[in-house]
Amino acid sequence: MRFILLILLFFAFDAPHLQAQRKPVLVKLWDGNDYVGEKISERDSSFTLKLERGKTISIDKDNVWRYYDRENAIIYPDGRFFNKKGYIYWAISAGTNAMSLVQGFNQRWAAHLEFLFNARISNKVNLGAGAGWEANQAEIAGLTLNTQFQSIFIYGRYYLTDTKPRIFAFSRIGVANPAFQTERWFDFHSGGFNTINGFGVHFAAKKDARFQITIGHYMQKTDGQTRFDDAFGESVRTRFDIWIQRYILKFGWEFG
Amino acid sequence: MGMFSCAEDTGTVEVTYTEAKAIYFDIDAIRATPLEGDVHAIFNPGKIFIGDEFILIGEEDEGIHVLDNTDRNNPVQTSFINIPGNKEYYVDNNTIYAESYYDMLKIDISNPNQPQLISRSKNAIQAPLLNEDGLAITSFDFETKTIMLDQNDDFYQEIVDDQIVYYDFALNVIPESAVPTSFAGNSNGKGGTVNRVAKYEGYVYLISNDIITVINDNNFDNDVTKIPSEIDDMETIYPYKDKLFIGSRSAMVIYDVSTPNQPRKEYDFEHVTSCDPVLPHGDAAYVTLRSGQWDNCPGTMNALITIDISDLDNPRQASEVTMSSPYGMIVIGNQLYVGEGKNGLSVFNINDANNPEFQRNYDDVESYDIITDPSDDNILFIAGPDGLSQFIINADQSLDLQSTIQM
Repeated sequence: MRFILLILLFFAFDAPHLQAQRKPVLVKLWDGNDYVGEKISERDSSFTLKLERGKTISIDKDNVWRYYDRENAIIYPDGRFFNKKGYIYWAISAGTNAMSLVQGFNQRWAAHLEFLFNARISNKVNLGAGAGWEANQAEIAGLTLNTQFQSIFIYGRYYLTDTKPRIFAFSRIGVANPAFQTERWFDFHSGGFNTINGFGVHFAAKKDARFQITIGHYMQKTDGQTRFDDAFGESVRTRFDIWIQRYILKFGWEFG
Repeated sequence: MGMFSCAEDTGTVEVTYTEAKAIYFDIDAIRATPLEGDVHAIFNPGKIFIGDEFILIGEEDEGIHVLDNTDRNNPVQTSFINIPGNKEYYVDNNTIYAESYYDMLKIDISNPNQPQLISRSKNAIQAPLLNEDGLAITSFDFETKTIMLDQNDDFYQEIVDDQIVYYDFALNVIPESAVPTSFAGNSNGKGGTVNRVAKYEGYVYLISNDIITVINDNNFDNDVTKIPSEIDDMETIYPYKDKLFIGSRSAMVIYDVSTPNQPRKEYDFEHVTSCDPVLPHGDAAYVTLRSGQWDNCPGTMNALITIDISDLDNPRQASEVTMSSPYGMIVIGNQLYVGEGKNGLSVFNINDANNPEFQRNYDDVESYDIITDPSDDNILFIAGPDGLSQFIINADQSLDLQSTIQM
């Protein structure tokens, strides 16, 4: 776990950026070229940029496809950027039990999939909602349970830094229903409240598709029952009422 | 540590299970029990064998009832063979091969009413589990218990993953693998075509847990070989040609016994977990898969599966027929009879051995196991809820009840 946190901190401080420039601008042209620089003049039909290496370039506004400045983006010298606000984006991520990296994937495995629709309320705050699918092998007192859930949730994110890989804290709260469960009287589980809270690293990109890594503490309430037959042909009946808990490491892409 | 504890699942689990506490007896005293016992009512019927003029019915853990069946309308109990700890036996001509706790017995029944012990292969099944007084486990007391556990308990680990809790005299847990299969469950007629003892070419084969025990019939006392089977939950062994067909709850496995004391696994047909008697016949092996009662037969499949064994080096599944609740089966002529419990008795035409064709169902004949009469193909013995019934198969395929031995 400490190892993972150290990685997050490493990304946080490996962060050269263009905030030193007074008016950083990123211009994407219809012909596919990108320019990053400081806007030094502007007319009705064009503007002039002073590029990173001191050259200047005049750009016809009709050739501009996308225009970013510090009002709507965090821009870095290599052309990578973050949108600051105003855009609705969606994201997909998949993850597993972070402890599996330590304990092995044969114990208390987890597989999570998440879809998010978020709005950038401000430079720091994103709010939205999403849906997910979570499969977890839980264990209580030696009893191993395989569970699957379909969840819906509300989601909030707060960016802690404006560094090139931005660090953020996030929280997601929702409810889940059991998924892919046949109506077998001897083996079922319920859904219930679930939440994930944690931190993530969001990587700047030259396009509107950005990679992110998150580590979050997952909690899912469930109860139910299972049965086994023992060597004498007698049944072993169990009723459980548990909180599934684990740290989920997720990798995802954000679009928009 | 706090962070790691947050990664652990928490909560409670209520576990209801059957606890088995070992009961001990003097194994030498048991071995000295005379074979001839007193005739008494059939309380806990087990394995059934039909002879030319007699019927053997196992009394679980006690021995075998002998019935004179000369008059099919009125079978009469004539004697009882004491075999303590017996569940499974196999009859070959005039000889019974029977398990008795840790031993295998070879008994001459030329005169079923005066059985003679030919030989005892001591500890053929396994060495006795002894306590400090030298007494051996002979059975278990069962008690249903309910306990509440939380994430800090590890007791549950002992009763899942196929590890029922066995306690010995000192309340020490005994590993399941150390307990002979004969100590658990039962082998009654409701179990279908189930057989854990068989004989082939001068060797007796016994399946117990995951061990195949091979006993040389010509040196019964001393020549015992144990072969790890590689499969769990073995239920049925059936010799056919130079092969052994072994059915487990999740597979049908064929062993080559061309070297009789060294069975070698040749083929493994895996299927869903369920109870699965297996019956080889001609170029086909019939496997019934039964599910539904979770206590005994987990799974979700009820079917009659036919395996084409015309090429024993390359068996393949030939067909599958959905059924209601198949138990035991038997072939008479070109017909396959399959007991379906409360769903009656189903009959299939097997002129094409690998494609059984449904013919009819006797829905008023509750059938679990079906046995033929060795001397008359027109007689059918059916183990049902009231006992063992004898039917005559008429020319029009109707069944006439002759008698029922109450069990």
